[in-house]
Amino acid sequence: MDSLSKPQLKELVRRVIVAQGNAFIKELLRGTGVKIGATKEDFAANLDAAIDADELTQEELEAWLAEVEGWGDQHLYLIEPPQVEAAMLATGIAGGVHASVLNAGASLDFPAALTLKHIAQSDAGLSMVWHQGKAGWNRFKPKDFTLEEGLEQYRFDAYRQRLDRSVVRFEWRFADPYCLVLIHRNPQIDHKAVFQDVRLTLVAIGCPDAALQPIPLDQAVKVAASRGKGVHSTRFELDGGYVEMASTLADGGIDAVEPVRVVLQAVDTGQFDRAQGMLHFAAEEHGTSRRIAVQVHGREGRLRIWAQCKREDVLRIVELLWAYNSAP
Amino acid sequence: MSAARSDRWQAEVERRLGQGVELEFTLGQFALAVGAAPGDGALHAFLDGLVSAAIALRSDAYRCPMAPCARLLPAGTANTVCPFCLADFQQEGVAPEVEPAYRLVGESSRDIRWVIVIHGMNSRAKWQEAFSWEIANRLSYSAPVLIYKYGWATIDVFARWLHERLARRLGERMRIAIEEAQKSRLPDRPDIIAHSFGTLLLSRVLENPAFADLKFGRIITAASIVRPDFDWDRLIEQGRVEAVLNHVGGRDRAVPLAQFVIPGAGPGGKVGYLAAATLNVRADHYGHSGFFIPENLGAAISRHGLWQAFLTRPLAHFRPAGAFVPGPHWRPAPLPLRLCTRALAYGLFWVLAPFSWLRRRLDP
Repeated sequence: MDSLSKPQLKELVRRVIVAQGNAFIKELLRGTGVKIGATKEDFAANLDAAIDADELTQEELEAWLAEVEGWGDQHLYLIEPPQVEAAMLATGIAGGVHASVLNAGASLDFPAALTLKHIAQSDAGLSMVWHQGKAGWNRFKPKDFTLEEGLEQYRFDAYRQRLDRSVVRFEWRFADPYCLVLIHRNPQIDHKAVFQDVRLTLVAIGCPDAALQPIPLDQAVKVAASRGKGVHSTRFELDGGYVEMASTLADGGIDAVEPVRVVLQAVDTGQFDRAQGMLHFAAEEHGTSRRIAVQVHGREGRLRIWAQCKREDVLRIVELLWAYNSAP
Repeated sequence: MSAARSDRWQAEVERRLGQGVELEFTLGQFALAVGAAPGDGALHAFLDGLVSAAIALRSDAYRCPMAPCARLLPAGTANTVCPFCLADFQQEGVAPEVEPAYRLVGESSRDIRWVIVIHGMNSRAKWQEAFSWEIANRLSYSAPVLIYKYGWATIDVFARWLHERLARRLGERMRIAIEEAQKSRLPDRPDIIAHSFGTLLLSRVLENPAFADLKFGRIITAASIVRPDFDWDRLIEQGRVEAVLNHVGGRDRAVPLAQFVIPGAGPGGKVGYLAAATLNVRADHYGHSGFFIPENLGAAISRHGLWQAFLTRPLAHFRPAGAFVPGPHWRPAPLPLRLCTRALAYGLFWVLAPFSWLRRRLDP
């Protein structure tokens, strides 16, 4: 593992704070024993202090990053696992071009092109992480100004550059009949290009060359809709038409709106080829750490997770959806 | 705050809680519903009073600030991008608008998903067909009705062993129906409406360990001949039954006689059920089959009628007219008297059995 100096660790902390939800940063600070604070500035100062006092080590920071960075508020695809013996992968990685990133430490580097930064392989699974720095522009009104030249007036709207730490993950738990490709929410990331990079990497570590095949999740949406609770909106489609139902409540789903609920019950979802929907997963009901809204695009095999969350939340949601998808 | 206005607001809250509808709302939505201004400080104070009294929960709701969208953002999102119009709030230099939201503490309404109706003795029970037709017309959605018929039972009711046979057939039919319903993605708990001798058969199914796997939604017994001390509380506690409404006819003359001639019967449809979790409601002018006179049946299953309300509303706030609690000291008629009358009835059964058998062969 590459060892980072204290200034490098602080730099890593600052970059992560910009991107992460306050709840998760508080969780990290609680583990150090130093005071927490209320704002992102407080968090940065307190984490710096924890690093100086050796109360927050590189190992702890990396373990926390592995749990929260690249998990949640993103796109997720379920894909068919590669047709390869898991035992062969270790040899493929060690003897291949990516051997240098096997068990590599946290990287501060977010290059312009999607770049493989980390591979972890064990008897239970394979995990790969790519980094990409993506710039975006946030509207910043304090810097707006107007200008008069002669008889003309000009208006200048200001945008401040934003640098996203875009993380792409490939996760394969060998016991599962699916793999996950998790892609940062930045709309400028081309998902097809990511799929191609993942494919090439898999080939490079010894998997057969085959296009990644998303697993349709239409059945998961249909089953979730038939069970009622947690479904916020649904859309069932076939070539000749579609039906769409939604709750417009912030909290309650379709089951909380009687006239919409009874319409949903009347829909024979088996008659429709494609399904998508917004599902809510709640802590008390589904075992997630918090309430998480997930848009399921059934035919694409894609989820859009709308909340920041942790690795275990994402895996729990996928398990639940897989159970729905496998139900008759 | 004027009393008239606050009474109106309170009435609206009670309506919502009673019907289990529109429990979640923003301040603006409630204001619109009661004809008040969203900025009305008195309304705000009224709603916060509900929160203080634990009648409602308050939270912040977030609304997309982009004018063409302006939708409430679902809970469980990071509130950085609108899931509907996909506007990135940072990119647009805006922040989601926050507004107070409330949720009344209560259960949502429920739906009648499917129903089993069981008739009484000495009847072809045309009401079952009428019920099926009426419920199909009055509900705004489809609810399959299984009309269970066990034939025109007459003297059969005098013999316990025949009850057991009829109850076993009923339980087996219910099990098949539940399996079929599950294949159609209907819930595995049908609601039940049973009349007279049908209520006794239902109670026997519930007591039979062979059918312990069967679970039911809400049950309506009309003119019940189940004993008042039948242990509905245990069944409800075990989750076998969701709730029970015992609809009693004030002029029912058949029910009080049942315990003297029908083994295991009792005057539940006269005295009421003693089980605390059940709901007894008396219709003063109904006789034994008064529930199924077309106008009464239509009224019971109309949108705000007793039966539909019981089957669809949350029960915590359900207080229908005619509800009563029976006295706790009901005792069956003296055993020697019941043994004598039942022996006579059983004797009559054997005298008439050949004729009954023949009649059933010709006209089941």
